[in-house]
Parts: sequence; structure tokens; C-alpha cells
Amino acid sequence: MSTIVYYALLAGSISIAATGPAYAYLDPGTGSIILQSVIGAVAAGLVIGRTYLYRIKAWFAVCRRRSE
Amino acid sequence: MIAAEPDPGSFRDPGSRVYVDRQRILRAVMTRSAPAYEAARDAALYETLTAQGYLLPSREIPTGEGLAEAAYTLEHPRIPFISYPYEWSFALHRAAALLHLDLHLAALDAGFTLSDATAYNVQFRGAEPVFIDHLSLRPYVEGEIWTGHRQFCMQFLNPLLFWNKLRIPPNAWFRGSLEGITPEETSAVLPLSAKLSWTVMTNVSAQAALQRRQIGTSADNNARLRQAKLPRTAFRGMLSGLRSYIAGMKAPTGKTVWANYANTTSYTGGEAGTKRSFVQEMTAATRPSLLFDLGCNTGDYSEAALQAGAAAVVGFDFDHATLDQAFTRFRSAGQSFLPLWMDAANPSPSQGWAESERRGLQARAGADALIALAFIHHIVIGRNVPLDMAVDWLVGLAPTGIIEFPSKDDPMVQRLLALREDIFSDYTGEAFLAAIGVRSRIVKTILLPENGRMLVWYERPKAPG
Repeated sequence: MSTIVYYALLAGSISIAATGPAYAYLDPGTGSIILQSVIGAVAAGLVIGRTYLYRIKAWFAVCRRRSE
Repeated sequence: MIAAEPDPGSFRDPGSRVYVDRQRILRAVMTRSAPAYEAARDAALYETLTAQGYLLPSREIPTGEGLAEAAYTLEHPRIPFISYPYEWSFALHRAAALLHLDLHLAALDAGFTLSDATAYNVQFRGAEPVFIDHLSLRPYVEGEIWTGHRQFCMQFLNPLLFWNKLRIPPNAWFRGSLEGITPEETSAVLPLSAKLSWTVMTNVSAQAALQRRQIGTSADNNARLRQAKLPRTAFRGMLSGLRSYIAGMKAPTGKTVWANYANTTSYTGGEAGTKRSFVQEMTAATRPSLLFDLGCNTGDYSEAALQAGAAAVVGFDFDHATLDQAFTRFRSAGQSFLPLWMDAANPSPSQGWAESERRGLQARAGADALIALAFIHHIVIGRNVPLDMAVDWLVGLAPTGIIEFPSKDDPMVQRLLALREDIFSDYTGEAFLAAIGVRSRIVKTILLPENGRMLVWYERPKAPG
């Protein structure tokens, strides 16, 4: 179970880019950082997914209007 | 300029340090933290969070009157008693976790975040949690990760999972491991059934697995990790997800030692009334700003002391279930009572860096009065502490107070002796009075005639000068 989760998270963690803030006196821990970058990537993915979903919906709505 | 002593527990943040100047609590804002402080102050963040009850009030001292080394100096009201997470029962720990998350969510909405998530930054005023480290708040940078996530798990989530999923008090582990319990350790002990929850799967299992696999990875990898991004909505989602999970955690239901104490003890109603009046007489005469209640149970006599004029009471007991009951009772009543977990035969030591970062009970004491009712036989007969040493320790904790002495005929003492040999020939009323007399003056003694219990109000001689 944990292995599947790990690989799923690891796969998501590869797409990390851009600059970030300098960390203060606290070491956040690498496990936590990877986890958060995956959560971030999934969240971003959901936003993109939702955008596509709206586009598809809009396309069907247009098709329906044309057929009427 | 003020020349105050730095607090030995405040050194980790080079941008801020707490100083104690007699009764005043001061915070130095160093030059490196000044921009973050100014941003929060100018956005009225401190006022807003203080008005919501999340943050300890602060007042900026005019330049020139503050601490010599500081860009700014803040003054805070004094907290009656500093407690540590390993002294909290489940209900206190959960309340502290929820406060931390509520404060972080409110800060994030105002464009700020927390630079860490240490549980030591949450303290209790009575039974109300409050956040004390103003300089942990700093401007949020769009897309930054939650720096304190691992620390939050180690100091809040994982200890609460010990309670909730394993029914094990995490206090002994936390006391030995002051940074908390790691996700790797928690993941190793949690049963599979506990890991099916999304919160546990991500914050504990996945984090532990990722952390383990990262050990010994290259510097290139670390450079990439420093650039990790977390959108604000996902950040908020992590905080609010943990908040709703922790808010839904039920108190562990275990058999308590004392929960039915009031029903099973040998007291009659009249004797409890006599004890209450005696506690109130002593409290009214001494008007303590802080009173200790050792063996507080659910806080009946603490309540009596508060009614008679004690400004704040800290109760100690070793039974977590009664502490949780006391916490709920006094929090809803809004009274200044803090119930803490302590084994009197092994109180919290001074520990951490230089053995002074987290102070022991004696170093924090500062109580003006104490009550120790139905208490002394537990350490003398229960833990083999000689009677004079037990009296010595109690009298040393506060300059005045009431100590109850149950004789060997008492049914509760008989229960302690039931399964063991009576090696306590010195456990007598006369020896008790003599031990008190050596260290203090006896103000008043009362006897509870039905079971031969004796209550002594002592007063230590005032220090010369």
C-alpha cells in the first residue's frame, strides 16, 4: 500500500520548478517537502482538469444548441 | 534602556528573543526580523489575531526605552504558568493543535504564514490556549510550502494519534524526545486500520516513506527540493483538512483511576464541605496570584480556591481522564484553572539545551500557595518516599498551603497497604506534624473526625531581610 502511494507521490514530485523562499532556521524535512510538492502538483492538476471539463461541457452545450 | 535577562528557552530564532525583567516579559525584535514585524504590525495582524483570542497581546515600547540590542521591543502580559506539551492531557493537546491551525488559517487569509509549528509556542491562560510567538508570523510568499509541516506532525498530529489510535499517552515519549514523535516512528507503530484515513496516509505513512527514501540523497536533489511549490489553495487545504480531522478526534475512552473517586472515596458530604471551607479560609487570607493543587482530580478544591480569591490555579494529577474532565469543566466555565499531567515522584526535569531550555517543575514553581489534599500517602506509601522528605518537597514548592494527612486507619491508605507489607512505621500523625514544624509554622490544624484525617495549614518563615 505504502509503496504504491510512494511511487504515485514520487512520480508527481518530478515536476518541480521555479524559485522559492529561503527557509528560516527550521529544517522542514525532505519527506514533507516532497509530499507538499505532490499535493501542490495534484491541486494544480485538478484546476487544469476542471478547466478542461468546463471546455468539454461548453463544447457539448454548443453542439446541443446547433442541433436544436 | 532595559537590561533584562534572556529567557533560557528562547534562543532558536536569531531574529527574536524573550527577556524577563522581574515581572515584565519583553520580546526583542532584532534588525533581521524588523521588516517582518513592521509588515505584520502595519497590517494590524497582531491586533486582529489578539482580538480573536488566538494571540497573546503585545505592546510596542517606545524606541529608546526598550532593550539595548533590539530594533523594537514588545511587552507581553505574563502567563501564570508555562507548561510543556508533555504535561498536557489529550484535551489540552487537541485544543492547542486546533488553536495553532486556526491562527495559521487566519494569518494565511491576511497574507501571512508561520515560520514554524512548535507546540511550545502554545501556552494556556487558565484552560484557554493562546499563541505566544509573534515573530513566527511573517509575510506569506505566493507558492511557498508549509515550512512547519513536519514539525506540526511531530508535535501535534502524531502525539494525538498515539492517544486516539493506540490509546497510549504520548507524554513519556515526548518528554524524552523534545522535538516530538517523528512520522517514521508513528508509521512504524500505527496499525494498518489507522492508516486507511487520508490524513494519516499522507501526513504519516507517505511522509515517513518519502523521508526514509531521501536519506543520503545528493546535494543536487536538495537544491531541487528547495524550489518546491505549493499553491495557496492547496496550503489552505492541508491546514483545514488537518483541522477538521483533529477536531473530529474523540477522547480516548479508558478506565480512569479517579473518575468515580467522588463516589468511591470514604468522604461524607459534610467532610468535603469542611475541607472546602478550610481551603477557602487559607486562600482568602493569602490571596495567591498562583496556587498549586497537587492531586487535583477534577478540580473541586481548585474551584473553591478560585472562588475564595486565588487569581490562577494550576492543578497536577497523574490520571489523564480526570485531567480531561477538569479541562472541559473549567474551560466552559472560563475559570483560570490549568490541569497538567505530572507524576509527583518524577516531576518534569530541567532539560533540553544546557538543561535549561525546558525548565523543571522546581525551576518554574513560583506558586504563592498550595493545597495537597488526599495526596501525601500516594508518594509516601505508594512510592516509598520517606514522610519527612515528602513534607520537605511540598513545603519547598510554596510558602504557604494546606497538606492533608490521612492516617493508616483511613480506608484509602488501607487500600494502598492491602497487597504489600507495612514497612511504614514512621507514617504517623505525630511524625507528620513534627516534619511540618521543622520547616514551617503551623497556622491551623483541623481534624475530620469520621476517619481521622488531619489537615494542616503551614506557613514558611519569611526570608530574612
